Amino acid sequence: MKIIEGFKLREVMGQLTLVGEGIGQIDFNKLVLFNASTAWLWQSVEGKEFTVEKLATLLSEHYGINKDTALNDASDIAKEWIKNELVEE
Amino acid sequence: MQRITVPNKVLLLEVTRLLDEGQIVILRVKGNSMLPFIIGDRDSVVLQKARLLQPGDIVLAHLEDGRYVLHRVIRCNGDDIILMGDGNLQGAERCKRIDIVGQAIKIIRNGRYVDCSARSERRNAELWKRLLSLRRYLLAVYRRTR
Repeated sequence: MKIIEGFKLREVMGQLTLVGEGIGQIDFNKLVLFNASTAWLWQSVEGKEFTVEKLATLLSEHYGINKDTALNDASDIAKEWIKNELVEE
Repeated sequence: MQRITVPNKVLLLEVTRLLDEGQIVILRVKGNSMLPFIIGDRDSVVLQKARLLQPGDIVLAHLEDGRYVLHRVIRCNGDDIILMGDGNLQGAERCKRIDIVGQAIKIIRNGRYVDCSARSERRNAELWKRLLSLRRYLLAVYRRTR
């Protein structure tokens, strides 16, 4: 899966926010606030093809959590991203 | 994911910054001061930094008392701008050219993009302005039909 073209991480109101700038418009109806760890994960896979396993590896390496927990979290995150049309399979 | 609401002061300050950077910003409109052309909580406006202002333009202004309004330009006297909400029966706002934060180039009306500079929009706005004396009754009728 990979990040849909046109999404950029910007600082809006002092927070890391995902903005759909594909068509050069910042739509305040469609901003997504990221917490620091989600933002880090996003930035780690920007511009690349990735899998849920890859996300899990990144999480477990960066945060020192065990593989199973990481896989669960990664799976949840990937589902959210796909559901909200931020990422395509 | 859940919706969050941000106070006007914070949100619109950020909007001002983004518009000054040259970005285009889409905002959901709140309130009924622009009835019947814009319906609060349903419609949104596409904003851009204001360039040549003229009567009939819908603008976002930061008033002296700190309020932000999205109203229509009634008159421009050099640096002085007079604004009025389409849904207001009376009461115009005064501000300076520099207080105009942005201009609506499009309205997203019930999901459809409408160009503010389209002849039909301009014509309807002008007609609405001319009917100011009847506005109270027109709005009363309009409200009953919704």
